[in-house]
Amino acid sequence: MKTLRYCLLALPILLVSCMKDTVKESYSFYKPVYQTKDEVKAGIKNSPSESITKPGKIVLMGNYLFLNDIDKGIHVIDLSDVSKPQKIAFIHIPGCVDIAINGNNLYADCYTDLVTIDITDPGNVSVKQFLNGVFPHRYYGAFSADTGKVIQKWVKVDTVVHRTMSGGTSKNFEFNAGGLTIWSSFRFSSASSFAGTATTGIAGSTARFGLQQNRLYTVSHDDLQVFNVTKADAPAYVKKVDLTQGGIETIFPYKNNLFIGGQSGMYIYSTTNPDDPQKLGQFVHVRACDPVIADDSYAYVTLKGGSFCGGFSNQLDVVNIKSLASPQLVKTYPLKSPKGLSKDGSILFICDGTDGLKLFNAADVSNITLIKTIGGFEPDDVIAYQGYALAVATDGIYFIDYHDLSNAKVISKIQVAQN
Amino acid sequence: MKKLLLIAFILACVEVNAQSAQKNKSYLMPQLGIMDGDQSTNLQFQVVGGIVSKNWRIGMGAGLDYYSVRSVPVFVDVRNYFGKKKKAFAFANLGYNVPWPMEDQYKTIFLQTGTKKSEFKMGLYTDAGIGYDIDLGKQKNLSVSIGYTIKKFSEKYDDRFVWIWGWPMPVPGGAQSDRTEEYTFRRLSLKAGFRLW
Repeated sequence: MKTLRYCLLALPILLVSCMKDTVKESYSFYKPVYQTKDEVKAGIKNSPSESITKPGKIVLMGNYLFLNDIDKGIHVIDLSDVSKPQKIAFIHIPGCVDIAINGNNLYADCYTDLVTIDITDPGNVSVKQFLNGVFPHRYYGAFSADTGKVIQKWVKVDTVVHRTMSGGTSKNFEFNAGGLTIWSSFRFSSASSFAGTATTGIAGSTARFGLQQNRLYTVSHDDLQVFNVTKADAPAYVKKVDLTQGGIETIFPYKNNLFIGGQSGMYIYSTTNPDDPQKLGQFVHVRACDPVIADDSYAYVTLKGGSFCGGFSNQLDVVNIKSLASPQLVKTYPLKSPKGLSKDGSILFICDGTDGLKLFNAADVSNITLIKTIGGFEPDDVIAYQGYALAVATDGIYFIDYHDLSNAKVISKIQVAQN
Repeated sequence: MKKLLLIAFILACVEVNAQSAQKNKSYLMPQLGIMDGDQSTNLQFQVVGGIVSKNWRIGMGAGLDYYSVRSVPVFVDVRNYFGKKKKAFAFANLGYNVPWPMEDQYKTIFLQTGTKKSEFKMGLYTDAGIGYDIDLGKQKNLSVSIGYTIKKFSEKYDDRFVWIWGWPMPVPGGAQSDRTEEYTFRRLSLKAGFRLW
């Protein structure tokens, strides 16, 4: 018994050496699978349709909807019958997050490169050109240690790590990824509203690629790049215009102007000389996520505040742009959590968070009135065209018939595969 | 709120037990102490109570544990008194550690749709050691003890990576990536309890 007591008395002293706090981490990290650029080019071709996993930007071209699957490629969806949309093919383009369509040519980013793809037959596409390194902001630092290679895909690896509390947090990546930030979870919204003519695809309010006057304009967070696409299957790099305002998110070409949405304002650039865009004016607002579309007289800017976007504003700003040099706010309309928007005639479509898709009568910009809310989903962006609205949401692509505005309703949906 | 109700329920049980039993056959003791571990030194507060049988005291306890992430340990308390005067004792606590994080102890993830907090799940709680009762007269005791205590719990949070300007992340497009961390905190525990009866 005495021995036991002595042992008990000694116990706390012995245990001091066992004071390490530990943590068992269970997580998944993503390991890049590299391909050479030649292999990537060879791999950009049609394959049978695949499940949609992370819907991104959309472009409507004729009866086809081109839907970006973030970092994977582009789904080709046949809309001959909008009530029965059919995925007909998938174009593998690793690192693709933005697209634009000019006639029979599709422009897409492939990480740092611009790839031109002939889509004359959407079921049988072919690569026409690669412009290397034109999107340096898409360079993923440590991930592209070998610049001769690109990341073709990521392989999810489940793992368990035991460490002491002072050992820091494990990263989700194979490397310490310079240039990345971990403070936010943010899936950038998808595309669209009318940004094109009959010969260019209809892209829109949250697109970063825009076509105008045989030029492809692309925006990163702090620059505007110009490509001459007079020879549509062989874009030529023209120049870069610094956008010192920073926080740039979207571009909306309209007539001879570019409406550029940033987190701090809307900036208007003239493309009178299409190779040399010049700033005309700006409309500054509080910090917020900010897609913008425009018509002849007014620009429509949705501001979404909170979380990643900063600020607290959730509203629609209607801005008079009759004088492009000095845009004037006409009126502000409160919204719940607006994202992408589109306009068909006098009907304004706004993706408004969990409320769903809202249809407004915008015939009188001073008195925009709600016509109908189509709920049950949380759209990120929308294209409204000839009585049909195509809305991208995290859980699916929704097709809405609004020929009869008061009875606008979802007529079909393509499901997004859930993780 | 559920956790508070749980604590109240346990304390009520202890109270009822104490009142219904003869006082010399039960015990009730609030304890205040500190815990010293790898990361910090923090306060703890507990109330234990139960029945007395010969050299044994068996009961339940609950408290507040401020080490790392605030939590509520809920446990079975067993004590064995030994020595000539039966003043020295060895004790063991075994039960659950229910996390009750303060606002700044959550990991907050910023999503496009708003913020999302981490989720905590309870884990094991143990405390074992030795102590000594100092007689204060009138059947009151100051009970001091030293022990080795472990609390465990897990925290789950969404751990997506993004490109700072909203360009989709290089890993598959912003896919949700749940990370679960199962923490084990080992501390030296010093407690002083005032035995009410």
